Amino acid sequence: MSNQQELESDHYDVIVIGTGLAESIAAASLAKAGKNVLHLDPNEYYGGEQASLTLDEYVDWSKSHENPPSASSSSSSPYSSPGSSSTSTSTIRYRDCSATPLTPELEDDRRRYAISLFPSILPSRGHLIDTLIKSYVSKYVSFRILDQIALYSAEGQVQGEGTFKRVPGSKEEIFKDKSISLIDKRKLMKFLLFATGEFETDDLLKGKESQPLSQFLSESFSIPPSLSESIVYAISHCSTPDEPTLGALKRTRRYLRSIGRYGNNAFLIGQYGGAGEVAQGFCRACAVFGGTYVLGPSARPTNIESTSEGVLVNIPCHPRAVTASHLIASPNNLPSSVSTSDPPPSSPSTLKDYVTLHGVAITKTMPDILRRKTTNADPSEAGASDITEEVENDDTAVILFPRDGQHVVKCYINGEGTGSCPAGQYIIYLSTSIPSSHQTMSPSETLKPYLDKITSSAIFEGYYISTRPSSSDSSGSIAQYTAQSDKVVVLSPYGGKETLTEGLDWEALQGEEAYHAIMGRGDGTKGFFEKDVSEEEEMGIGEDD
Amino acid sequence: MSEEIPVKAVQVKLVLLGEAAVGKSSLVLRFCQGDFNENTSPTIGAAFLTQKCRLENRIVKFEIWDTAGQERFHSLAPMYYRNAQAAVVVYDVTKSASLEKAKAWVKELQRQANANIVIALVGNKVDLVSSSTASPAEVAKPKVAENEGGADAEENEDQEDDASPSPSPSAAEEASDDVRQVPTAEAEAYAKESGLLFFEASAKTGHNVGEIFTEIAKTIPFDTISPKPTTAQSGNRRSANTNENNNVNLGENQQAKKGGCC
Repeated sequence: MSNQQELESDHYDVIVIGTGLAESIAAASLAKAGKNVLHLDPNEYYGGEQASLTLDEYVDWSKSHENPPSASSSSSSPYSSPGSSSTSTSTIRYRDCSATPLTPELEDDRRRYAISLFPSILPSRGHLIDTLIKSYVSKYVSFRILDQIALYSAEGQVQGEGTFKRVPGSKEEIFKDKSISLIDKRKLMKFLLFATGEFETDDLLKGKESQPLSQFLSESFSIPPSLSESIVYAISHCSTPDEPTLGALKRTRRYLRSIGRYGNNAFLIGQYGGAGEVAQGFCRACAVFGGTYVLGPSARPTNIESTSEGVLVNIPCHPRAVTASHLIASPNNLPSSVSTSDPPPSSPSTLKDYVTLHGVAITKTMPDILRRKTTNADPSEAGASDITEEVENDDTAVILFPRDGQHVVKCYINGEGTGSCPAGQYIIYLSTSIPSSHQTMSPSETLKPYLDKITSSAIFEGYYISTRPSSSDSSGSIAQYTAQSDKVVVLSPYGGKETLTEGLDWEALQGEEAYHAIMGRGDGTKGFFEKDVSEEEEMGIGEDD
Repeated sequence: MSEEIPVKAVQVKLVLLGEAAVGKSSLVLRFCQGDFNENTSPTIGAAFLTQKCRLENRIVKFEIWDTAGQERFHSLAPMYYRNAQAAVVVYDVTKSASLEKAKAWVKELQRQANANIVIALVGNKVDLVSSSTASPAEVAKPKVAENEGGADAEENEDQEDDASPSPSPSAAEEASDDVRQVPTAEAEAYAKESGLLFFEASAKTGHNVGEIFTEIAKTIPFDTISPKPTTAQSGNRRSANTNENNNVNLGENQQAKKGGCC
């Protein structure tokens, strides 16, 4: 239905373009602080790069990114900026998308799927969880505890077939784990104690901060290779064993301290597609505080300029130009004339892109890895009794496939309990990052063998490649004003290779920084971020940088 | 008596829909607070309101979601419809276009929401039309068995005055039939053929407001939505909507509250 209603005003305090998680958090907090916010998204759906899409929406999205963007027009950017390829250095790009055709059954059920463009799990301690609680947006979204993390090992009993091993999620589970010798348990405990503590000042770490983590584990803690692999991939969530020790330890500490806050696993899973749903929650919060929302083509700016007073934006849904004191957007939603920012002073001018291969599959058969064994019971006895029915199988899992000399393949499974697929079905996400020099790798050829280890009966498969600017590796740049204007706040989308475990908190931090960029860090204003977080911060995690 | 029987409240998410300025928020304010403000500004500030509705055999706790203005440019998020068990679609009896909008919202609900959602179509502002033709809402007689009131006590007092089927006392004399643009019969016929509950009401006087919610509460098929989680063929019982126990309440530290593992 055409809805030619115009906006209520020609001027807003802040215009936010894009409804990604960072944008939505910033918008909600600004509205809470009393700012008049206009929030636009040229997409028909919420969530931007973090969107959760229905299956048909996903297929459409995939079709629109089949081919690599040509040099002159970055496909994800709404602007045909003639001759300017400079945008592409800071935008997220997708290419080589493919998807199997939808069966009639999938077609019928298409709206019951929530496929995430940003599959991720949320550490129970960190920026996003704090922001959810402070903003009360936690009331709109529901989370569950991740059921298991497992590590694949190529050496199995049967030739050519590997084995999966659940990684114990807590101290109790480590003690119970019979596959770890007592001596190794002691070493492991010693390391975990170290990694939970204030290791920055510990002599054990001195001089070894940038040593590869695996080397540090073996040299400083005498941890044997098999155990070391579990720590590197499944506890520290590194992509390779060579990651510098200090950064890996910091993440490990956060994950370890996350255990027990809500359950026996460090991570939470957002229902209904995760990140996209969370973004919608913040948008609703913004609307509740008076923010105005326009989505779709009528919200796609035809022109954005910075002026001496702020910014001026032309959008189809309003007959006159709309002005605002500030603009917040990620580079994907800005013309290069406005978005180009100075490279952060410290970082080298040659930005390295992270290229990630992605896969999404749906199956109606429960992957074996989710099946809970009847613990300790003699399997022969279980036959007649109903014990097997009492065992609740897992609904969600993260499975890590180490690869020699290459980045780990991460697999993330969502069952019906996540609300993102019909009952009895599972969504399987796969991803791995590759060096930008290997850009010709096919995502399906690379990832399909790993999907086959999880299930042989996928009823849908989709693959794509994303390229992210490496802005966000630990020391990277955060939301900042552009060189041209102190009215335009440009967000830095997550650009690391640990999207699965780090992406959400990065986006939350971006949102918070964008808020502070506009409101200052002064006293007493009333967004979410000035709020005292009483006991939540007692564990001392909230302070990270 | 029935009060002796301890009943636990069943929570129901109810979403409001309808064109701007038809009085969605006013209806809810009347229901929840027994209140009416002549000039309410477009909805700002409340995430959702809650109100209990007591039936003979159960207490229904409505969690009422307002559109927060996100309907204006058709940008209501899918989250809004998610798990809603009831919807109130409001139009203004003095604006025929608003009924057309309401029909569009009903379609949208049928597309986006749960299949078994209970939808009530409500013609608001009957206080503006003369009482003779407003014979309307007799459809939903206030025979309703709200021993404890459709809502909390103070609201009940308002209701006693206003909810009676007698002509609304405050209906302005000068308001004539001309003001009414949507005949009761027309909207009622549409509601009937689409399987919707139907009411004409006035948020201003409170006429029929409590009845809307009571009737919804009575119509929701509780027996099919809450009980035993349905077992999926896989033997996996973690259904998203039915098994709330697996959900984490972020607001509180719950130390490994759920069993299940090990």
